[in-house]
Amino acid sequence: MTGNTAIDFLDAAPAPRDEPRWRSQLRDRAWEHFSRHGLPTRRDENWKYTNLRAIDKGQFTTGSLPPGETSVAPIGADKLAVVSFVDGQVTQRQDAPGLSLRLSAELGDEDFGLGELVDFDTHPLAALNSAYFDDAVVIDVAAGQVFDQPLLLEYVSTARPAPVLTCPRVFIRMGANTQLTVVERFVGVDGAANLTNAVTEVELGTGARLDHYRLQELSDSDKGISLLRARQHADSRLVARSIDIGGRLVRNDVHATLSEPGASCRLSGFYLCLGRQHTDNHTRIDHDAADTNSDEVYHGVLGGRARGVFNGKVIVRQDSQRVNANQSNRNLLLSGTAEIDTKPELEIYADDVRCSHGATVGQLDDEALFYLRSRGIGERTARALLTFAFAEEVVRDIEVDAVRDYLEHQVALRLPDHERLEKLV
Amino acid sequence: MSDAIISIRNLHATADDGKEILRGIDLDIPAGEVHAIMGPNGSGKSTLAQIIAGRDEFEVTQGEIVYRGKDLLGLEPEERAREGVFLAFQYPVEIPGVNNIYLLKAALNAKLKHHGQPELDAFEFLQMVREKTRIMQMDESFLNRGVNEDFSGGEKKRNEVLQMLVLEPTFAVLDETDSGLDIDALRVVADGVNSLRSDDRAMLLVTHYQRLLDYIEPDVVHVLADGRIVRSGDKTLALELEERGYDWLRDGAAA
Ligand SMILES: Nc1ncnc2c1ncn2[C@@H]1O[C@H](COP(=O)(O)OP(=O)(O)OP(=O)(O)O)[C@@H](O)[C@H]1O
Ligand SMILES: [Mg+2]
Repeated sequence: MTGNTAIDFLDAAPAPRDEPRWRSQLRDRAWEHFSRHGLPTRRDENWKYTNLRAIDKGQFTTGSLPPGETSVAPIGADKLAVVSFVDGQVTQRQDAPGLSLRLSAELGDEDFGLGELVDFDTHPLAALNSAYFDDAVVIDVAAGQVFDQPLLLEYVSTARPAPVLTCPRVFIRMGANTQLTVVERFVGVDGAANLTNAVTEVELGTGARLDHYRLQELSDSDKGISLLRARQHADSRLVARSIDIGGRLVRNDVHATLSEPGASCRLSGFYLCLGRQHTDNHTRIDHDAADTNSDEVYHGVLGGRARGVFNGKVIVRQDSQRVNANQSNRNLLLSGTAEIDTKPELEIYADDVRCSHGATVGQLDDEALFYLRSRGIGERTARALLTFAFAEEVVRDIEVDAVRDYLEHQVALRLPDHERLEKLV
Repeated sequence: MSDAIISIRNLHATADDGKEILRGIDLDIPAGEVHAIMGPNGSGKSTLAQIIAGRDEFEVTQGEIVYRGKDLLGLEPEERAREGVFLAFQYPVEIPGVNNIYLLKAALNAKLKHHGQPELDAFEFLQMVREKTRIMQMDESFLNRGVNEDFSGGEKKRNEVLQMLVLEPTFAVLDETDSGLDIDALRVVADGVNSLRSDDRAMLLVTHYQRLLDYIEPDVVHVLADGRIVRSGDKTLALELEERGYDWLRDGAAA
């Protein structure tokens, strides 16, 4: 122990436990990294706009105190399976016939490679997660298995006397030609002020398709950090959707490596930042094979004194020919004091590549506003409608009807003048 | 004229850059009449149409527009719409994320509310919209798409007329609604427009093509050039323009 920020932040290394070898090895490796590097600071290019000092100063415990108020509005979708956590403790579990879903304690000594895809240098907070997670959810989809209904993983953050650090961890291994939809929902009850630091690791086998949803509805004092890390084999497809409508300080990373030909991914996101919220989305798509495609669409609505960050990195390796990579980030500023830093980062080493990127920051379109008003829609309603429509361009792509309906409603509810949209959703 | 739906007096308007686009327009359209405006590109036809609808990009420097006894220029665009003014845009705007049917419903309800009338229930509304969609020979799937989103040029024009049929305006301005339509679509659009013609309504058609006027017979044809109405006549004026172009009128205007 060296007495650096990492130790100040959490007073000591996680206590040694009676646990499988793979777990203690990962824990030791992670803690070693974290205690050496600590939290990233703003001197780190990837963390330039997002200051973790608020976390550093916070006194988070990792204990398992009994939770307080835990009820959150349910999402009424038909689910394949459910695991719910409250402040890190499993409170509900519903398995699905045919789907291998285990918690890490149930795995015994079998070393199945959890943690292999996660690079602590690229994402230092993953080291913190790896040192502290308890009940990792491990999902194994056997070759050929296709599941239509979504699997729901729900993490509830509650109001409690001393804020907690929770480290949700998920590992999804998808065999060849499999299909799965996973909804990870991070939700805070009023007054919750915890730190949720999640890592989800996914291996997509040949021809596999994963639809991943991250719904973030934390409370306005909660802090949330997440990493979705995917490695994709030939002809696999990842559709990752990220919806942020809550949280005080939020940082999300999506890192996808397209490691074999035919792999493709689509990342879409919507973030709504009001008041003093801060939401940072960093994506990194690594085209590590020829004939791989990616596209990315993120929309943000920012008001009040909120701050948004979008950074979209695309790497096309030297031999990765015939690659298409498109990226767009559009931002709507509702106030003069809201801010957004948006930046595409393209590193292209191959020549047969079609890349496009575009970032916009602006107000509502005057022409559209006039068009609606010329149809009898009042100005404020027209503004609310266009703001909603801007979110809806991303939200409407959600293919799970109940999730989409729920989110449309939640997004609308949080917009200025939402009562004018009453009959819309 | 007491029965005029709209009467425009000495209307002057400038664009943001200070350039005068309308240079003294006088126009009266009595109830029951359809007037057509023709004129060269850039003469100010769309500017006039947009000013009627309430676009604030242009500044009216002189003159007035009286709509059914009211000072139109004093009303917000949405108030004009609720009072029965409708503009079919030359370039309808795409609004992804707002459903076509939602817009129709919100627009109609805003108008009904303004007039103290009850909203249609969901069933009645849908029946009515479906009926009008059929008249416009549009597939019902258009109702659930974003407003004009990825519509073809002709589909956008039909959608404008669909909105007009749902809103049943008292005064409609159609800005080149015929441009970009195939022959069959022209007929459909014309039938739609004609179905609204009545003694208590008036219309203003902006067009470049005499052909439209074969389907929708105007009572009066005006020629707008360089921001002024330089000639008005009956429908034979359109035929004459088709043959002779505009130069003879511009020269006349200068003289
Ligand atoms: N916002 C603006 N700022 C500056 N000039 C403008 C603006 N809007 C229109 N104009 C100019 O005003 C003139 C009239 O334009 P308008 O669109 O009314 O013409 P039009 O008669 O409808 O032409 P067309 O037949 O091509 O549709 C044109 O010269 C145009 O460039
Ligand atoms: Mg025009």
